[in-house]
Amino acid sequence: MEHQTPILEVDGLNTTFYRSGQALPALRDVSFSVARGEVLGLVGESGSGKSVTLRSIIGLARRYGEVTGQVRWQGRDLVPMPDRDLRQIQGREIAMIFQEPMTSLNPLLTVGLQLEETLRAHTDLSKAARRDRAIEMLDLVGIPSAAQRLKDYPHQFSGGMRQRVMIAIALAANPKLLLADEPTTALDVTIQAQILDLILRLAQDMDMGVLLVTHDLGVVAQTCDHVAVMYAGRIVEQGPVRDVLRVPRHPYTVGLMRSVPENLPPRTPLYSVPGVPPSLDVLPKGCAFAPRCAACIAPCEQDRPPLSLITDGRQVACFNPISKAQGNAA
Amino acid sequence: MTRTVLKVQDLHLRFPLGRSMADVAMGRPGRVVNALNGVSLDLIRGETLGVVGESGCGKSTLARCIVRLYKPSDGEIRFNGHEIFATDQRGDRSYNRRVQMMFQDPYSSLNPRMTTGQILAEALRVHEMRPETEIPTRVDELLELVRLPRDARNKLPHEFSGGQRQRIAIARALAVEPEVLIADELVSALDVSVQAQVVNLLLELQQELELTILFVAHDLRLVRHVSNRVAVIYLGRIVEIGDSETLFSHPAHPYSQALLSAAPSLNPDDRGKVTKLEGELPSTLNMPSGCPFHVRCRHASEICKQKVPALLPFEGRGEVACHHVEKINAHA
Amino acid sequence: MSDATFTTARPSLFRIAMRKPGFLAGLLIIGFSILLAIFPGAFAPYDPNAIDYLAVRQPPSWAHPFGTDLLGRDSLSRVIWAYQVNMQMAVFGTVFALVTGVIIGALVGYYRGIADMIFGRIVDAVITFPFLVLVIAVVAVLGPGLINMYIAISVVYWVYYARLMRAEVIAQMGNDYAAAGIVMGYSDRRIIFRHLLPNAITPVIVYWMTDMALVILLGSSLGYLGLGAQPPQAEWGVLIAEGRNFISTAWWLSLMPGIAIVLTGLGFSLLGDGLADLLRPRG
Repeated sequence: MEHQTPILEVDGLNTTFYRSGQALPALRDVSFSVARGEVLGLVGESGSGKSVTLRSIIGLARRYGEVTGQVRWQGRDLVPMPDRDLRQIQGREIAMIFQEPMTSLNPLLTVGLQLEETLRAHTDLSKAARRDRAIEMLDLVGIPSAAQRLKDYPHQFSGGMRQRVMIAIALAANPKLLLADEPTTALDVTIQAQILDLILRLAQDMDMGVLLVTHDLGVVAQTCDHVAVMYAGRIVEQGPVRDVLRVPRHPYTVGLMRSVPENLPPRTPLYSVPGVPPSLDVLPKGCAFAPRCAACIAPCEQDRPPLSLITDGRQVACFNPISKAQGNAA
Repeated sequence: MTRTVLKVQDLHLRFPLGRSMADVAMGRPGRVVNALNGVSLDLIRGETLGVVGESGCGKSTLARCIVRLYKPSDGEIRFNGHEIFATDQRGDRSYNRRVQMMFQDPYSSLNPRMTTGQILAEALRVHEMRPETEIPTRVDELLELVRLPRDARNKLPHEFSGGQRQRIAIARALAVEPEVLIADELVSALDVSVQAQVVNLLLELQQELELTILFVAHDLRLVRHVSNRVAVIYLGRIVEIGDSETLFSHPAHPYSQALLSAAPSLNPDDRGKVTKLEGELPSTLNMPSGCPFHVRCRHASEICKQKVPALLPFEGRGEVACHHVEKINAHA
Repeated sequence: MSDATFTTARPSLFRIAMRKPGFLAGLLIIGFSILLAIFPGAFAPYDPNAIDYLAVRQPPSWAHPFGTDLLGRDSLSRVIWAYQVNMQMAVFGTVFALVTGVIIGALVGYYRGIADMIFGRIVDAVITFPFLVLVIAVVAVLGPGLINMYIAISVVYWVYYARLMRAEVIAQMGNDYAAAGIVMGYSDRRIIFRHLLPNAITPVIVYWMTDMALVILLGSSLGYLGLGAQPPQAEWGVLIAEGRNFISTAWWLSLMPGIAIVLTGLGFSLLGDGLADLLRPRG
């Protein structure tokens, strides 16, 4: 797919939280860009900073911590932007959906009312036009007999349908970018397939960029154009999905892929990365992955490997990347 | 000794929801959740039987019936030939000793106020597994068995990671030296790399201790990896059961086919190969008549709406509950 | 129990207390109140019952910091000796309700069923009935005095503890460790008292602290009305009642025991708040 110039450019994003006086580097030097119609996957384990990245972009993280760096949105930097101006962009130009569709909808208001609320906040439509648009949106996300369901409350929808409602609300104002934080983790596989399909179709139809956070490499493989693998608050590898998943170069990406029991003889030991991810308050001096890494060499423990370009569009932060041949074998 | 350790036969479980005032006024009977609708399966000594299905399909309910957390409305469960609900349940602890369970949530399955040592010692003491003087040694052995450091015994659950807590839960189950382990979504709450560690441990322990395992999970790749046989459950009924490799490579039931193809593959070239399943799981409150799957099935015909298909052997590769199984698999 | 072989290395209660000034203040107030209650003679400058007709209703002075009452008794000494009665109230007025309530609440919450339905009706009956009227009615039947007051309070108050305990036990039952206990084949008694109770009791303990303050207030009210402690026994409610007729001329007579009530109540509240933080399991 040919991409236009990026709409979102994240450059050197750092987010720090503070806990009892101690600084926790939740994000360090995160840079990437998303173009219209492109789906970028952010993948990593819990605590890797993938959700914090989304929250730092949309201005939710700065309430709890310190965000520095640049988030360029159509020529404007969102990081220093005052809340009042940011609110004009949140929901209208950049929308977000969450993992738990039950808790992100107000249980006391009908779905129609919540949809209309969004439309009133972000569009100049008349009351009648808002209603039409609300029905149109529910229809678009595949909710049967949309007009009748406007009067229903969130608890009258199943988990999958609720996530569809969330998507309808998020997309009501025609945003140019959708931030999706593990949108299908709470759902069953058959429903997950439906929802991912829906997000992909809408991204294409509405020419919208999508930043999809997930812990499931399978979801990345089936959904994303590009992928960024995160570990301990940094991007360790990024590039086009096909290239990264076919020939992973960072030892962590390799480990993550090999932990997934696919194409393995049954009941054989699974590969598992030894040890556990480091806690943010005691990050190693050099590469954060070095203590768990089989390919660790001397400089890894001393210096932090920069994220550098290896081939066209591929970036890896590693002093001793897995060679192409080894990566293929994984 | 029989090969079948645990025999589940025609198990039904209905949870009454109570009659609402409207029901009483209209003269309707109270509503009932049909969690299990006639589940039969044999657990064979030494095997791992995987149970898969979507949330609400009854797989966890089945697990909880087997350890007597729920009492079935109908049907029976026999352990080595003895009906497990026949005896005074709370009085007879020997069954609890021989069939153990591990739970999904690593953050709630351990008493937050007891140290690992206390948790394990309690199990040993209640079942008199060791004389009092040997309990500390045995606790150390159990910790070693699940690859936890010895100093773990003086720590409280909150001092451990999710994966470590699941190891403690495994150690607690193993403390009473059971024959059968029920793993209910044991690793679903863990990160992939940690999942792999716990699954490896479980497989090793199974070899070492000759355990029989019922592995309940929604992660199909994982179930395929650990199981010898697999049962696919839909709306409280087994729709297909058979050898794991055969079932995963050539699922025969249309629901199994859809379920397996929906699991996202790591290969980006598989994109778009999903057999999409329309609609969602019907509520267990209004069970469809006939085959529970007919409302979402592309092959459904008149008979599917009327008659519940029986679970029958199909071409020597396990059992399938579908009226059109020959036709469907002939096309493929 | 040999479980003691496995002890936890927790930071000591003392070190945690030092980091929470509110809790520390509560601890100091209640600790000192207990000392006063146990050793009033060591702190009171005079005999609380020594009558001195030459020094009647004297305002506070160096010799009598709280002044003297209408019989010339030292007010400070009487307020200090009253600690014995009022702190006793806090304990005896609550402890029976606490123990019965915790046990019944835990059982009802664990077993549910018919017992739970009967319990529900009892809660409804007790909660809709005005509490003070009920206690006064019981005391009126049994006659005034401290023992009868404790009986009256306990008869009603266990319901509040039981209700709280039941709700907590039901919430804890949602955790898999309770199911794990059943699967492990543990006895009901062990599951209820060794697993559920320690995890469910925190809010009950916190409520107990505020309840002790409430019972002191209630006991003083009954004493004031002449239904609780009987004069010449020194009790804050009785002392306030004695000063009632001289409120414009000898204000200290009612004010000083009033301050003691407020201070003790504050102490229990602070202690309760602090305990709520301390007893919460971490993780």
